Amino acid sequence: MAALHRVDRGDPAMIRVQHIRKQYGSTLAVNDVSLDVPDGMVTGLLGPNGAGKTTTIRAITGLTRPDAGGVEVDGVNVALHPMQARAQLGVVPETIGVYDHLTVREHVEYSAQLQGLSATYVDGRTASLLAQMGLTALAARRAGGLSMGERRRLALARAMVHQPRNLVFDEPTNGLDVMSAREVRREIRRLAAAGCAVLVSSHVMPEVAMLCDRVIVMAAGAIVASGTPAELMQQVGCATLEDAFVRVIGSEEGLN
Amino acid sequence: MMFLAIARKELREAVRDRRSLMSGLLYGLWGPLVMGLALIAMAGHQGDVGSVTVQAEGASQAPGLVAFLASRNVTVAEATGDLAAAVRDRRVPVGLIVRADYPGKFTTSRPAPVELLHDTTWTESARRSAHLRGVLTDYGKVVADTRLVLRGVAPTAVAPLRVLDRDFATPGDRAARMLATLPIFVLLAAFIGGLGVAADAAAGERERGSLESLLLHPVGRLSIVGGKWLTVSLVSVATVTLALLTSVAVMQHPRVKNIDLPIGLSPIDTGHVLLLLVPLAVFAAAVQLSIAFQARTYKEAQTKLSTLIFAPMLPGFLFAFGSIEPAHWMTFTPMMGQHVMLTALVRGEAPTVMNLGVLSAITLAAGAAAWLTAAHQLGRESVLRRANG
Repeated sequence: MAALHRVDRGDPAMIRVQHIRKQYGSTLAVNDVSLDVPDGMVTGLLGPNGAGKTTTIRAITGLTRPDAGGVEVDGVNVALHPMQARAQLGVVPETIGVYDHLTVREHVEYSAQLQGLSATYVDGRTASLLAQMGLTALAARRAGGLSMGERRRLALARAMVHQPRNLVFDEPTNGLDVMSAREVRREIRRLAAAGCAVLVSSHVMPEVAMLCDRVIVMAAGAIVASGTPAELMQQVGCATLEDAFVRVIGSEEGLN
Repeated sequence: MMFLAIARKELREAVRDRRSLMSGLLYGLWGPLVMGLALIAMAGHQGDVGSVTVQAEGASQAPGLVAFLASRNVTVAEATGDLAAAVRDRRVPVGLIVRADYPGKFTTSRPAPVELLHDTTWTESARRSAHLRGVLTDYGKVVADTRLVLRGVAPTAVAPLRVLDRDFATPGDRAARMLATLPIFVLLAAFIGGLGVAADAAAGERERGSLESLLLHPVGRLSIVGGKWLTVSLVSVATVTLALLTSVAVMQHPRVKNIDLPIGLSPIDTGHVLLLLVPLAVFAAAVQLSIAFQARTYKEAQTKLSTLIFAPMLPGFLFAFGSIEPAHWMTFTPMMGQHVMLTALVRGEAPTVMNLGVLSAITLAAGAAAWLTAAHQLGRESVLRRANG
């Protein structure tokens, strides 16, 4: 994939979340959360179950409308222009739902069509993406017969079909074997190196330490710490990111 | 034109999955075949019984009765074995027992006992016994009249009333009663055709977890539902068309053609029915999607949509049991209007272009409202919750 060039707006944050708040009934899911996901690096979003990670990610993708605050993707207000914002985003959700009766190639082509890409462009783009994700040999296979790792790579191909400059991964290596997880992590690093803004939500601490340039820790709907993994460990005086995480959130509850 | 991409994908999946598609289409095929068989059976069963042979015990004691029966095309054959058991076991539809005291009582002008053996729960038995009872009654009247004349009494003196029974029903008329169920049957085709595909396109998408991925694309909710609506509508219309074409083929069968039906499903009749049902199928597809998007699983959607099938049957039942009488406003109400017009069509009354156009427009508008409702469902955050989430 060719290096991506961004319009220099004098502001490196490509995904910007500002003071969002979301309440479901009596439960405050997210309270005054602000974060930036800058270009060219992988930002990790950590937190125990119920910390508000999924709500924050859904607010970024426009699937959840915050009660207060706002989200911008490449300067586009998600609440006001959700279609424009989604066109700038590539998202790999935690649940990889596939259509059992469509082939791998048809999945990618379907996503390309939904992104509004021209028919002439779709063929070439599909072929190159399948090759990039190691799915060429599986192109004609129906998705119902794919392994979890193959499904995850297919989801990655679908999320990248329109060459988005902002990517969001929700638990990207969940359920993958060691080799598949390595491949996915390598691809995420490559995307960041190509200049993309990458947000990764994960529970796996060694993975976060290995993959992320910056880490944002959420607990009980709020951001409780942020910085590089080294900075976090240094701040709380712990030798591992996992220990630092536990110290920051104040308990071991919710750790997987 | 994102909705076309969605429609293509949904159609491709439906064709490859087959189960959802075939369950609907098979209704369009089997329904008319079953109806054709019922038409033939009904026309045949309720027609003239023609020559009848009846097994009897003790018939030799009543030669006059046997001769009278023969004159009415009822041949009496002496039973072999236990006649009552034969009727009870449904080996023989009707039996006649002339009791041993018949001759003595007959000759002394007392009521002479004959037993008519039959089974009212067996259509053939009921039909033949009714015929035989009529002939026996006639014989009794002939004998009674003769006895009165011999005693110098005019038979008319003891018959103040003479009821003449004139049944104008032809076999075709009787079959037409069966054909009166046609409106309910074809209305059902519009609702059953796309049921499985709608359940899969909406609730199936939620169950698989693919709905979130779909919503992450820059495609409006109206387009998403629009694409699915187009697919379900196509399948529903295909089912209705298949049901009508099969009905036309059934009507062309020689045994059905022999029945003098008031409607033959001519090309014009077929066109009218199609014009009535296409908007209804489109309406049904939108309603089914709006309901299916509220279900988290395919099975839950199927259960909810199955209850919806009773909706098009409701007007028919209400009319049949006299709960309500067809009124003018019903002509312009989706489902009721189609039922009223189809019933009129079966009676041989073609709908006016005006009525047809207004009803179709109202039905399509109601479908559009259901489409907006389904799109609204997609905007709710709860739609992202899965069966286990």
